Amino acid sequence: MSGSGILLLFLTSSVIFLLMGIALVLYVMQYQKRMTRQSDEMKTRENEYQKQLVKALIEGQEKERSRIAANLHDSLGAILSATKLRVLLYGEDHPESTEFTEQTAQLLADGINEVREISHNLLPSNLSSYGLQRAVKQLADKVNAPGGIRVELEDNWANYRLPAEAELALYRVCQEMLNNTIKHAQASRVEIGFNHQNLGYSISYNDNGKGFNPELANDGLGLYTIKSRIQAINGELYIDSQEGKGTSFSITLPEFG
Amino acid sequence: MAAAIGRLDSGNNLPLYHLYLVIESTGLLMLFRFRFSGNRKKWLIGIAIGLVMVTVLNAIVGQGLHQIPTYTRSIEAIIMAALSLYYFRHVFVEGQVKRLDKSFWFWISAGLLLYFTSNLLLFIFTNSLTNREDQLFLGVWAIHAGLNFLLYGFYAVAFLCQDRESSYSS
Repeated sequence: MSGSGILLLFLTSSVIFLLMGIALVLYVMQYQKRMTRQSDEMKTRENEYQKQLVKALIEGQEKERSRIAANLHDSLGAILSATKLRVLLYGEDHPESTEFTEQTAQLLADGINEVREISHNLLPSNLSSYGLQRAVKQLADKVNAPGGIRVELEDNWANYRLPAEAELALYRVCQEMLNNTIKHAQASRVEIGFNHQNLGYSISYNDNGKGFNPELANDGLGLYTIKSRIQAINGELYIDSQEGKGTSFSITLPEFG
Repeated sequence: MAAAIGRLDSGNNLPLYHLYLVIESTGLLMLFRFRFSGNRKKWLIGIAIGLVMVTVLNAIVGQGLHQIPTYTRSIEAIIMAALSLYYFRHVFVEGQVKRLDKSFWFWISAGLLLYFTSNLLLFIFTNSLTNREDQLFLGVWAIHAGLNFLLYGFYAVAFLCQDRESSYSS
């Protein structure tokens, strides 16, 4: 083989080597890109599935609550009311036992109120009629007590209404946040804001309690439920809390078409 | 042993090269049997037997024992390159390997592909080159040595990956 032949062989082999090297690099890049895409798709599907699961769970829970509330109100409430009426009628017919019948009627009236209260907590009737802000205000009024926690509301939503399922979810979230504040925060003041800015509608919740470490509290059922409910309506939750420095929740709501 | 064979009547030790070819090609084909399953394993055995037969025939009635077996070396190069390409296609279709750079088989196949495709022309024309001793000729063999070095480097990385995979799974 001549010198030029060897040179040609050398050059051709070098070109093949280079081409193969480039092809290998491109192959790896393409493959990894595909794997990343696959992994992203799988994560999205998993998230979607989780969201559906939580949504179904919450829906089931709400249905069950609604059924129990209706039964309590319509069945037990009605029975107690009828019993109270009969006790009062009996008292009218038997003046000698007026004291007993009045006490019994009072106990029954307390029972009826209790049933109404439980039923109302299970299914806030004013939520569907008057909206989230009013229902939360009523919730706040119940919490507000002299010497206890002071809950203040700021409503900038005017008469803005959300879809029923979103209102219910956010009502439960507010309920859960208030419960947490009462049970754990040792706070004296809570501020709930229904805000409306250029970016859209949002809800803020601040307390001046002892705060917590959000990373350590991730396993708590309460916080998990809050996150799940907000996730189910495609909202976003931001938590800002430090031990000893109070807690702030900010819920950004999606555009509801 | 190579020197002893070289001192025999023919004056070269190329019979060992034929033996090396048989060992290398069957070894690599048997190694790939671990990667593939089903009929493909049988195909690999068939190819290995065929390659051994061609090498033996080439040594006896073809180029002879004392010549560089360029035919079988070239056939081996084409088979190994094809096998590597088949592996890459198979992996791409399957999409099961999460990290290619941590895969034993990727490094083995990449090394084989680079080595055999780049050396194919050299293997084909080896006998035409052996009578020359100029710089260009030496340069070509230096490149071959470099590619050999690269191939063994890839083998080393592959075995390191294999070692890690075993450690993770144990």
